[in-house]
Amino acid sequence: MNPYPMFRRRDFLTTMSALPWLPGLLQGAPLLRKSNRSLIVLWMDGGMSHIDTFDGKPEARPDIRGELVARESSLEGVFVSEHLPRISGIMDQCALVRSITSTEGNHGRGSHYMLTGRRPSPLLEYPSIGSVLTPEQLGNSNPIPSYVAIPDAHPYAKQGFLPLTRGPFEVGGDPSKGDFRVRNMAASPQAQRALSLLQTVDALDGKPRSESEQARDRFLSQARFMSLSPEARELFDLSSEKSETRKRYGRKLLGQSALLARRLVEGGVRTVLVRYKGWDHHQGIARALTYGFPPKLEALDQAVSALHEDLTQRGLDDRVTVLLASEFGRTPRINPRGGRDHWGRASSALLFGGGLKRGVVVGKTDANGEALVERPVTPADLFSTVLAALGADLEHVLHTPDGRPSRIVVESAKPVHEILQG
Amino acid sequence: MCRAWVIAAAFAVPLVAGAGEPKPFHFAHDISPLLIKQGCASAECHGAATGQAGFKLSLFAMKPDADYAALTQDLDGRRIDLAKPEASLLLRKATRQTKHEGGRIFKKGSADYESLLGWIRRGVAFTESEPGRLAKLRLEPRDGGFAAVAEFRLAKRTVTRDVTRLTVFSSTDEAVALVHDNGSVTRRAPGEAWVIARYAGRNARAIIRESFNEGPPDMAPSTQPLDVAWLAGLESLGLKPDAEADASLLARRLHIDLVGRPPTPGELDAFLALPPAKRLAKTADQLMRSEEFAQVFSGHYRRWLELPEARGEKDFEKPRNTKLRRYLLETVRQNKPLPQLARDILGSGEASGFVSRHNDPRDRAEYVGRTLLGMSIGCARCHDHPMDRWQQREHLAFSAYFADARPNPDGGMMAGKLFLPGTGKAVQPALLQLNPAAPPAPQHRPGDELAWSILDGGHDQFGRNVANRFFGILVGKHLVDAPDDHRLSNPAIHGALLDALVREFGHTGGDPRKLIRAIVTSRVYALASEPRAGHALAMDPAARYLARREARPLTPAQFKRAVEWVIGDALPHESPPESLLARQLYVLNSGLIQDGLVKPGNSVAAIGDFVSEPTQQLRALFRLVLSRDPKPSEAESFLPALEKQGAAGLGDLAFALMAGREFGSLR
Repeated sequence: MNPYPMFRRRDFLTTMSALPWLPGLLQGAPLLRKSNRSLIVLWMDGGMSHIDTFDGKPEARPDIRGELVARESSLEGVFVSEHLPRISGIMDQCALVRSITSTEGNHGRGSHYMLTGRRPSPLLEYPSIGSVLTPEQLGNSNPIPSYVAIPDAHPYAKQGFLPLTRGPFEVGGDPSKGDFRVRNMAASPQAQRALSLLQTVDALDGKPRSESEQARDRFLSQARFMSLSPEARELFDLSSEKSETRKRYGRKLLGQSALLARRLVEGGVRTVLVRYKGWDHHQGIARALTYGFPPKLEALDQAVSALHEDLTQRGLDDRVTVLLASEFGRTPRINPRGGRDHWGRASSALLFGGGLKRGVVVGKTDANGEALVERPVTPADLFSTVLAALGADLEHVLHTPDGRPSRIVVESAKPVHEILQG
Repeated sequence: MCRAWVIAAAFAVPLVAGAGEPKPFHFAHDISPLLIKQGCASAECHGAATGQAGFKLSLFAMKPDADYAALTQDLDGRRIDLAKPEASLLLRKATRQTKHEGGRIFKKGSADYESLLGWIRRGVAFTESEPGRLAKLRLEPRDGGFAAVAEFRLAKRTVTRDVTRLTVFSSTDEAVALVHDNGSVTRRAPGEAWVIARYAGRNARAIIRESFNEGPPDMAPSTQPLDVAWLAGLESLGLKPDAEADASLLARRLHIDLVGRPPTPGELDAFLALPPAKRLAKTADQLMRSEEFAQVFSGHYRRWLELPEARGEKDFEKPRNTKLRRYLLETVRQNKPLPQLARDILGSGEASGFVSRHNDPRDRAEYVGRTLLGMSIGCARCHDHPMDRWQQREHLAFSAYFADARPNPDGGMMAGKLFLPGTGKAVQPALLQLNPAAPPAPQHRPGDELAWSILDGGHDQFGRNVANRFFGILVGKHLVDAPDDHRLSNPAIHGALLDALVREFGHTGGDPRKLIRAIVTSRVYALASEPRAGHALAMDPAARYLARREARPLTPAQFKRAVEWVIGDALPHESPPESLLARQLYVLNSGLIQDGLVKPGNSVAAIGDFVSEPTQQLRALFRLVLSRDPKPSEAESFLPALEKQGAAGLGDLAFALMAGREFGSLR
C-alpha cells in the first residue's frame, strides 16, 4: 500500500530535486524563511590535524612539519597535504578558514563549542546546528526527517535544550556495507498487514491528549512513509546510484556517507551530518593518516572532491552548503610517540557551496602553525558564518524549556564576511 | 473580569522617611543600583570582563568599592568634574552630549540625572552622613503595581525609603503579568506570576493572581492535607479540576508508576474488586513491597543521584558504580528513610562514593547542592549573579568542605584544604547559610556538621527537594520545574501543595513509601487526562496549574517492559531509541512486538487457544494489552475480523494495539 499516492516510483528520480514535499519540508522554519539551502556537515571526529591537511608548513622544522609533504594548492598561498591532491585541485573553488581558535581542548567541550556555537555550560546543553535548522513545528507536510545523521550523531550534535522532536534522525548503519539499511526502516510484514488496523485503533482512541501524543502521531506518519513508500526507500538506497559515482566518492564509510548525504539534501533534507571518527592521532600520525583501509586522507580527498564535483554537476552548488570541520587542530610539534595532541588554539575548516565565495582563504597561523597571526575566528563565528551562508536570520531567538530566551548565535559572534557572498 | 490580588506578606509599616532628617546615603545604596537598573553594569556594557571603551564596572555592580574607584579615580578622576559637575564625563556620556556607544541612557534633568549630579555636587562621597544598614526590602501595592520599600537601620532609628526608582523588577511569567521599570503591572492573562524586585543585593517578591473564573470545584471536600492544599490553590485561581480518571486507568497508571509495567488481568480484577476509597492505597502498599518496585525506584534514585547506568563490560568505573547501584537497590528494598540516605551520602561509608566520584571539591559541593538541596550553586563558581542567592565566596567556602582529607605527620588524617588556584591560599570552609537565623549546630562534631546543616539547620530545603522530585516522578510534572534549581525566581507552580507535601514528608520522618502513598492517594494523582475543549494542548492552563493531568509517553524502558509483560516473556531486543522518528520505526519494524507474538505459548496466543468466543477473546485481549474493556465502537470494528481470521486476526490486532497511541502513553 502506498499511503502517499501522489508519489510514484517511476517519477521519483527525475523529480528528486523538485519533490512535491520539498516546499513543505523547507518551510515551517522561521529561521530560514527566505532560503531553501541545505547543509552538509562533514564532521572529522577526534580532532583533525590542521598542519597535516589544510595548513601545511613545508618550511618548518621536521618535528613541526611532520613526515607528510604539503604543496601549494590551486589557491595561492595555501599549502595542502600532498595526500589530498584532488582537494588541492579544487581549493580555488572553496573557502578556507585557517584561523579557527577555540578555548576548549577537550573532545567533549571542543565538539560542543563547534557543533552548537556555544561554549559548554554546566546549566544548559545547547542545540546543534542541525537541530537549530529543523522546523519548530512538525507539520503533515514533513514526511521525511529534516535533520539526518550518518551513521549516527555526535552526542553534541543533538537537540540540546530544544524538544526531542527537533533531534537528529540517525540512520544507524554504515552506508558502504552491502547490507546497509536504515535501522528499522524495512517494513515488517506484520506492520504492513496491520497498518489499517493501527489506523483504526488510533482513530477510535479519538484525538491526541497531549503534545507528546500529538508528536507521536506525526512521527508515526513519518515512520509509515519512510518504511512503506518506495520513494523514501529509494532516497536512502545507494544502489540506484551509478557504480562510477559510488566509486568516485570512495567505497568506504566516508565516501558512501557523503554520497548518501547528497541524495538526502537533494530529496529535501535540511541538514545532514556525516560523522567520520578516528582522527584522534596521539601516536604515529603520519602512518595513521596514510595507511589503512582506506587511508584517512585518501578517503577524505575522494569524498570531498567527489561531493564538490557532484553538487556542481547537478546544479546544486548554490542550494547546498558544505562544511568540513573538527573539534580542534592538533599540536604543531610531533610528540615522542610520533603523534600530535589536542590543539584548540588553531585549526582549519573548509567550506564550499551555497552562499559562499570561491577561492578565498581567511586567517593565517604563524610559521609553526601554533598561534594565529591574522583574523582569529572563534567556533561561534564559524557557526554564525554557516548560518549566514544558509540565509538564516541570525537574530532568531530560541527558548529554553523554562522560557529563557537564547539567541541562535551568541551575541559576540560575527560571521566571517570575507567568505560570504554579498 | 474579577481580579484577585494577593500580596505575599502583610505590611504594617507606613511609608515615611523621617522628615527633615538627613537622608542616609551610601554609594552601594544610591549609585550602584542605578548602574544596574540602567544596564551600565551589564555583561554587554561596562560590566564585561574587560569593561567597555576603557571604563570597567563590576558585573551587575556587585563590587561597590571597585566601581567607586572606577568612577572617581580611574583616568585621574576625569569622569567626575567637581568644579563643574554638569561637565562630568559620566553625565555627558550618559546623556549623550559626548559620543557614547551605548546611546543616551537618560535625559538631562531626569531623576537619575539629578541624583548623580547631586552626588557630584556634594563631593562624590562613598558614604554621607550616617549610611545605615539595609535591613529589608519589601513590596507594597500601589496603583495596581508595586512600590519597593527599603528599610535602613541607623544607630538610633529605622528609616524607610521608597526605592522603586532604583529597583529592578521582573516577572516570573510575562505571559501572565508584565512588570514595568516603575513597578506598575500590566496583567495579560489569567494565571499566577511572581513579581521579583531587586535592590542593592536584596530581593523581595509578591504574587499576582488573575482568576480563570471557572467557578468553585464541583468535588466533594476532602480532609486529606494534600487535597485541601491542592483544591485551595485551584480555587484561588478560579480553576475547576477535572473529574477523576476511571478505575481501570488508575490501575494502569499506578502499576506503570510503581512497578514499571501494566497490571495483569488478574491484578486489574483485584484492583477493581477493592472498595473505591481503598483501591489506590491498598494496591500501592502491596506493590511497594515487591522486588519490581525496588528495581524501578532504584532507577529513579540513580537518576536523582546522577549515577550512570551500567554500560556493560566496557564500564571502567564499574566496581565503584556497581557497588553504588547495589547500595541504592538495597536502600529501596529496606525502605531506608531519605534523611538517612542523605546522611550515608555525606558520611564516610560506602555511599560516600556518590560524592567522591567527583574529583574537584567544587564539583562535589555543586553535586550535593543539586541532588540533596535541589539548588544550583554552580552559577556562582565563576562570578556572582544578581538573582542568585549564592555568591562566589560562599561557593568556594562550601566547596572547601569537600576537599580530600590528607595524612598528617603523626600518621593520622587531617581535614582537607582547598587552595585557590591564583593565590595558593587555603580557603576557610563554611557551610551554606540556608537559614541565617538558625541556631548553630547542636554538637560541634565535624563529621555531623555538614549533614546537620543540610538536613536540619532550621530549614526544610532537603524535604522540599525530595518531595518535589517524588511528585515529579509520580505525576510527571515537577512542582518546581528544574528540580535542581529551587530559587526565589523559580517558584513552585503550586506552592501550597508543595508546602503540604513537605509537611507530610516531615511527619513521616522522610519515609519514602509513606511519601509515595500520600502522593498516589491524593486527588491530583487520580485526575483524568482528557484535554479540555477549546484549548490547544500546549496551552491548556488546566494542565499547567494541575487541574488536569497530562498524558506523557512511556519511557523507552517502560515501553519495552510493557510489551514483554503483554507477551508474558522476556525479549532479547534492545530498548527503543530516544529519537521520536526512530522510536516509531522501532515500534513498527524492530521485531520486538512481532517476535513476541510468534513466541510459543505467549499470552496473546493463549487467548486464541483457551478462549473460544470472539467477543470474549476481544475482551481478554483489551484487558491484557490496555487494561480495560473494549468500547462498543471498538467491538464493532474489530469483531468481524476476529471472527473471520481467528488466531492471525488476534495477532494482528494485538500488534496494532501495542503500536497504538494509547499503549505508548502513560495517561
